[in-house]
Amino acid sequence: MYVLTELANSVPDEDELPDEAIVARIGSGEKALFTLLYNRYRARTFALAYGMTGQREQADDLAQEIFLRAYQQLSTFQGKSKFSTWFYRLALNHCLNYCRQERGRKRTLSSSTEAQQPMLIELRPAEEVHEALLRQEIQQQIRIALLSLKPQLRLLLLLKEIEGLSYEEIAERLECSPGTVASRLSRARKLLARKLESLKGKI
Amino acid sequence: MLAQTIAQLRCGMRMDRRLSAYLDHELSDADAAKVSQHLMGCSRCQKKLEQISILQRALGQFEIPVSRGQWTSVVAQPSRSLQFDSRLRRLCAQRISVPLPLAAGLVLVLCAGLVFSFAREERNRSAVTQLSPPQVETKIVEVPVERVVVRTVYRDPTDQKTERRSGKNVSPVGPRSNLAQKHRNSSEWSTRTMGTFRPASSANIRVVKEPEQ
Repeated sequence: MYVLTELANSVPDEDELPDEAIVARIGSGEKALFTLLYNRYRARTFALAYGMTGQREQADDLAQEIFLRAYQQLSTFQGKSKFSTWFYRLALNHCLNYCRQERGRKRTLSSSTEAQQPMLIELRPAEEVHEALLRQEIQQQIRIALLSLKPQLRLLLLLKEIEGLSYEEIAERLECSPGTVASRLSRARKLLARKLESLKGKI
Repeated sequence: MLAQTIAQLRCGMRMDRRLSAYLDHELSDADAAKVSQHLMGCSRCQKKLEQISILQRALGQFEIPVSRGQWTSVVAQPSRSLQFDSRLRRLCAQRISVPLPLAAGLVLVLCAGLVFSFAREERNRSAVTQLSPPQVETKIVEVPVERVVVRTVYRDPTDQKTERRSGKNVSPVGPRSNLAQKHRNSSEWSTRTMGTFRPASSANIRVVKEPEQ
């Protein structure tokens, strides 16, 4: 669908540049600099996408779509806020839209290839195998519990627990008040805590 | 007991949001101190706090796999047709979800329609089989002296018209029938009928005296 090329050699060594300056230079024609922004936001965007989808392939696709959209709409960034705020707002909206589109599909995690990672059981000691299985089970349980939440609540929880943002920062990105963030976060935790109560003693 | 339950409910409504913010260090110092003091004497809130901290620990252990995304940059925009193609593909890949009550309703309507149509067909079939054969009204009148010939005459409306038009006293048997013409002209009357089958409504009986020989 998209024509993509390796640009690793053409990336200038300008890591110190602030995001806004990079955006300005991209606007003036240095389009290759977008790779710098990609590099800076890639891990967090993927983490967010993974938290929202629960599957690596879908998370990769979603993260790629977010960057493509950001690239296409870069001209709409006017510098009124930080670039990171603008970018995350775009990413969050895209994640929510994606979840809305995917709502019709019934994706089961049991059919996911993510859950069944191959393990060389024979080559490992029994204790290690047991530990690995337990860890896998816990991860599976967390993912299922996360995906059972509504997309908005899930997103909020991810921003708090995975991204480690404050209420103020979450409110800024989701364009709501910190009070709303507090009450929604409390609701999300209440719902999720019941489902993860069985993990008591395992973690 | 009841008072304790009510107190716990009140406590739950008031404290749930605060506990969440307390763990996130989002409360002011004064509020955090109040929550700490409350926690000392409330077992329900202690349990809640433990649940939330388990959740936090679990999410803290949530493993994010390594992205397989490439170090890439866009050098060409997708064309319109490609965009349409991908949307179409995505649309085809989507499953149409129908709510269960609606699906059940549709199935019921379909079943009812099938049953109704079968019943209707069956009724039509039985109506055809029960249809009585055309009945010809036949009367035999006995006259003591004369020989009586009973003749069943079938009238054809079209033949009657012809008869009226011509003004002649023509036998009601169709003129096109050669057999009928033969019998009309002959001196002996047959006891059998002539012509083709006519509906029962157009049939009647005529008693004819046989001419004396």
